[in-house]
Amino acid sequence: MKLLPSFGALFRRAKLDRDMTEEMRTHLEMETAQNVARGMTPDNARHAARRQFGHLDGIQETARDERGWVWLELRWKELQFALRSLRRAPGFSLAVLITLALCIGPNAAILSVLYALILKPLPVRDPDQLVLITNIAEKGGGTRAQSSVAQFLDFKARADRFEGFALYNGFNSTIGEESTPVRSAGLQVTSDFFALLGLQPRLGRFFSPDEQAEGRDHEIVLTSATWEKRFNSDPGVIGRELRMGGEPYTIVGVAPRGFEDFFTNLEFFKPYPVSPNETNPLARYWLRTALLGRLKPGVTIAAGCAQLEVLERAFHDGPATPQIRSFLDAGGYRISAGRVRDELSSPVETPLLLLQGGAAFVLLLGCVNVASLLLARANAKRPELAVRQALGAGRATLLRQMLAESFLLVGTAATMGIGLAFGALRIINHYLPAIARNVPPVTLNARVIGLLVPVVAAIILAMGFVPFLWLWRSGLRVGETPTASASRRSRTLLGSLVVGQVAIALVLLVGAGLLIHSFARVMAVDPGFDAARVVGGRIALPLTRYKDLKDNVAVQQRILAGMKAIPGIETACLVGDYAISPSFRLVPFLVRGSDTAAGKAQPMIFLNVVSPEFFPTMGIRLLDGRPFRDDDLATKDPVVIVDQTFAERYFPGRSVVGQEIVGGTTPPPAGKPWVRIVGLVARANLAGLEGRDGPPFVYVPINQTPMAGFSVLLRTSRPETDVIGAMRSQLRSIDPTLPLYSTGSVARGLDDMLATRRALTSLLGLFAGLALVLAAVGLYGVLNYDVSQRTREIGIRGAIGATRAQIVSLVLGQGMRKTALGLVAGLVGAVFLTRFLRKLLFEITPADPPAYLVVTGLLLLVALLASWLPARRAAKVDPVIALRAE
Amino acid sequence: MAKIDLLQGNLEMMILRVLSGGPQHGWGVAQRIHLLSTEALKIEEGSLYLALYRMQRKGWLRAEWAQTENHRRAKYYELTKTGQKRLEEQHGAWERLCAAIATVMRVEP
Repeated sequence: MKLLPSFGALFRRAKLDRDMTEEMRTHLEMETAQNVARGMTPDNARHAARRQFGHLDGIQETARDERGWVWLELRWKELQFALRSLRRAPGFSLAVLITLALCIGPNAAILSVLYALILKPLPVRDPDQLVLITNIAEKGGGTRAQSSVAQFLDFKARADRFEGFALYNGFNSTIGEESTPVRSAGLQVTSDFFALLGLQPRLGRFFSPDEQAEGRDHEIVLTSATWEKRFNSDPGVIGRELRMGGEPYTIVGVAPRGFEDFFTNLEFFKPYPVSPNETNPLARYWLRTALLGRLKPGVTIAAGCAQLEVLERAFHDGPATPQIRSFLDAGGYRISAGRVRDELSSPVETPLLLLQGGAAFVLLLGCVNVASLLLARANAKRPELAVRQALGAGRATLLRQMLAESFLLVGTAATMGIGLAFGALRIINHYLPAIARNVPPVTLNARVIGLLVPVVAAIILAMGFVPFLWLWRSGLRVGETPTASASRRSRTLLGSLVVGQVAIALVLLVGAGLLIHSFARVMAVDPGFDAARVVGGRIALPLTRYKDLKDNVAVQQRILAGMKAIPGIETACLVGDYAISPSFRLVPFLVRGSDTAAGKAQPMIFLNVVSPEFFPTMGIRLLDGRPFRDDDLATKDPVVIVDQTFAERYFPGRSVVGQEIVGGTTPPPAGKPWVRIVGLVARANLAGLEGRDGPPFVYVPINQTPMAGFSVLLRTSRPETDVIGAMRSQLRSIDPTLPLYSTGSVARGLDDMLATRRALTSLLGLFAGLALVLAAVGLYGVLNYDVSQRTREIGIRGAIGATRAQIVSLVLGQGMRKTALGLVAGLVGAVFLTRFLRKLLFEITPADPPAYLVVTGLLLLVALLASWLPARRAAKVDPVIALRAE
Repeated sequence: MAKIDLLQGNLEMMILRVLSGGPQHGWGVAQRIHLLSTEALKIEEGSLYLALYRMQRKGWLRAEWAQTENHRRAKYYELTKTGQKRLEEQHGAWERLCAAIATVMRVEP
């Protein structure tokens, strides 16, 4: 109760003061009246009353003091003083504000992205105990494969270091009315999935174990976003029926919010249909599903993984057939478990951390610049501060003044920087989908700002203490003139700050230079195909209606024929996968006549299922042999076409046409034929320009197995949107329930694959540029200040015969000496730090000479320019005026 | 009359006593104490008002602006329930203290 009136006193100070004054005036009037009644004259009465009262002002002051909050009022006055003082130096204040805002803004933006993509915890119970279990093929280049249902069942039964397991897999389907089908992304999950995550249904219920059998799995749980958007949060949605993929499904529940943050486009969940084939223990390596596990509390990931390894070993040594054993040994497969968070975010982790480091460096540079500015200003204010000290201002008062100015400057700059970050994030969100799929737009949230507050506070303290310590060490004396106090010490300090700045700028420049060079090398890779005029779209065939091979092939042919009939189309083809994709199906294989020596890496190829027109449509040259014919069917005589990389790696110097191979790690069983290579094509980098040195492609004719989905590619000179519209109408006329999705030009897809690299390179380049500007400004500022302090000395030199050239070279020499020192320090740092870039470079080493040379040259040029201006100013000094100036 | 130094607590106690007779403004309180002490005590206005503000902050008094008989605007102070309790406590403690000191003074050393 005592605190509240006091708090009110803080804000109603003026009114309270008025009340007090009036109250005491009334008292005096009443006392005066009484005195008059006693017989005094009015004047005497008044004076007597005043005398009796005592020291009016003193009493009022004591009353005010006792009200409390004096401390705060004093601080407020100090802030007002600092504000006035800064207003009187607008150039300085503006320079500091702009510098810091430009440095804090990017940090805030990148920290937000880092938080959204990497640091934000999963919205599940105990996320650190949740792991994703994968199988890694050590000998197959360390490729990560998924897990299997059989592994899931085995682990569930016997891995007691885990609380439980669950499976999930993508399940995309077509939802909606028969006339406007929409492709929707969903997840099929086992019944313990939600329990493993520790989630409760927002509405309705989750799946039960008996809904996992095929045929009984037609139930759906909606995500919160879908429920809110498509069904208007209608609670009556439970029990309603929905048509998906041409079949009826019942909605049984709604999942809680939070999934949207990690799988933006996810719309529904359905039960995982476990087929009897998959539960067979020998199907342990049908690695097609994602497996989640939850460790028991206190169990480490290493311990959990060790137990899984034991179970894997038991299978390998026990029930595994010789075929399975050779598959495992040849690929060097081992089980691995990693935190789900890490597994989901790893692709972008390194680039983001790199960018954050770059932004942090730029902030450091900015702070150094601002510190030098503050030091120069403190030096200029010495006379004023000396007088204040002489009048009684203690060290603490001086420090408080520095801190007040620092607080105002840095605080305002931080606010401006956060505003900048908002704008930057909007731009980043525009490009984000190409870099990280399924992530909602990044925003500045409270946690990120919470992370920034200590940083900003630290900067405020530093910027307050630096000028204070400087003044304290060098002492204040009344009557000093500013120029006379330009001691060696200040010049050395400022000089070493500049050397540091140059070093940091060089490190950033080297990083950017290496990335730019890599990017150039990537762009110089010949794609091997002509993406210029190819447009594509994907079609999904519900297997319920197209399960029979004949029906499936028939509809494929109809679609292809329909697409070819579109006017303006040169060629069209079908592809099992996407035209270009970061990875294709990786398959081990065996060459007839050779034996894979034990211990050698298992040869793997990318398998691509294509129709005969694929090569002319994509503009891939045939080098030898023949293309696919329409009658190449698997059962009769399996044939494949391989690419140049395959020929060079496995048949160097020989003709590859006519050779025989087989998929898998063992020869084909008796009665089954080897697969014959009938053609050789040029290397097409369908896995992206950076995949140039990846596995070779082996092409297989498309009409061999029923396809659940395939892409249609068209080569045309018509505009993209026209063609896609025509494709849709063609498809509608063949089967209106089939949607066309993932449409776009292949050229753009190729571009998107480079999105991360492009973003990283441009942003780091931007930071490096900013760092260079800051360092140049720092160098210029220090030299300029130096020249202004040494005007007299320069005047003397001029007077005793120094030529302009000599004076210019004096200043230039100073500047270049500092630059040289910074360069050396920076090069050492760069060599040290660029090893972390290794993963991101393409074709060049972290010690790439051209990058270093160009960057060094650029830095020297800029430093020369930054030194030239003060040098010119020094040369212009008129000896007569300079000597008179003091 | 000689000036006796009053302890802060005693002054507060007397103010509470005066106000237990009804709301009063600052000057009125000073006059009353002067009267009731048969003119032995004349309170310093500074201490008086500081005490009044202090007690108002502590919640023992409530203040309101009102018109005096002479149509002047004055701030009237009133005892709160807490103040009443405080008065009783202080009074009791004071009586006990006085009795104890009196006993000591009566006894021959």
